[in-house]
Amino acid sequence: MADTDDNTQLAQQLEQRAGALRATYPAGLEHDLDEQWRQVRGRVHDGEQASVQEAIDALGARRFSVPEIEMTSSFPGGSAVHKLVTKTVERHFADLVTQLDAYADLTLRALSTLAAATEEAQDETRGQLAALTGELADLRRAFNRSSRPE
Amino acid sequence: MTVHEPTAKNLRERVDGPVVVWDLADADQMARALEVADVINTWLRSDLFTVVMAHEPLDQSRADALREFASTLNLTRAWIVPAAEAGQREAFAERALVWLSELPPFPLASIAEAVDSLVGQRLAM
Repeated sequence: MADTDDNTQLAQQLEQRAGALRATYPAGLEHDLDEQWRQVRGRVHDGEQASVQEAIDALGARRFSVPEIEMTSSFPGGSAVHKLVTKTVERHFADLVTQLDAYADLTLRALSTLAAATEEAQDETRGQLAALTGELADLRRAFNRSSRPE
Repeated sequence: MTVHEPTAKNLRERVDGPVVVWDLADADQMARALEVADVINTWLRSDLFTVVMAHEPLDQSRADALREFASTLNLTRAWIVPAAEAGQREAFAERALVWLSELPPFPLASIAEAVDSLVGQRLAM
């Protein structure tokens, strides 16, 4: 830490220059900076991207299955009817589940591709915006230096 | 409390000039502190180093947004700390010339007011 004399001198310099700055404060600077922050804050959605990926992962963990069919019945001969019906429809159910699983796999693949493409595009757009805002900041700094109070 | 040595070493060896620490409650206030740092580095003191620290840990997206904002401002003399450990706070406290812990929340203090406040704090030392 600098010593007390240096601190006092620094404080006086700051006070004088802060006064000069207030007199020549560029119009709209504060608004421009705040707007820049709003834009940056608005386009960062990593949390949302993560939740999309979580939703896709959860979808991938689910599989279709043929439900267990109750074989007993309170009606006389009901169990035999249940067994007969079950045997008849079971193969159709199994075929249906295979089709549903295949469809789910395709859907999941499409969603994953879509999410990856969105993320890639977002990164690219973010990079381009960062480059543009960097150039803008350079220009602003050059302008600030040229209009700096003495 | 033990000082976090990597932070202290970094401050000792990599950071020159006066250090201002902002210890603030949310990302919007931290963004305003970055704006103040930008104005001060541009017009007042190009050697001032600013630490902008979250009082409570920030979530990742807000921390990323602040880093991106600092990058858009070309702020090379600012250190954003989204989740400070106690030892890091100690290291910053040791080095800080000025420690500011609040900006009025609604509305956030204007940049000019914040610069005045900083100068006021500095004068009070």
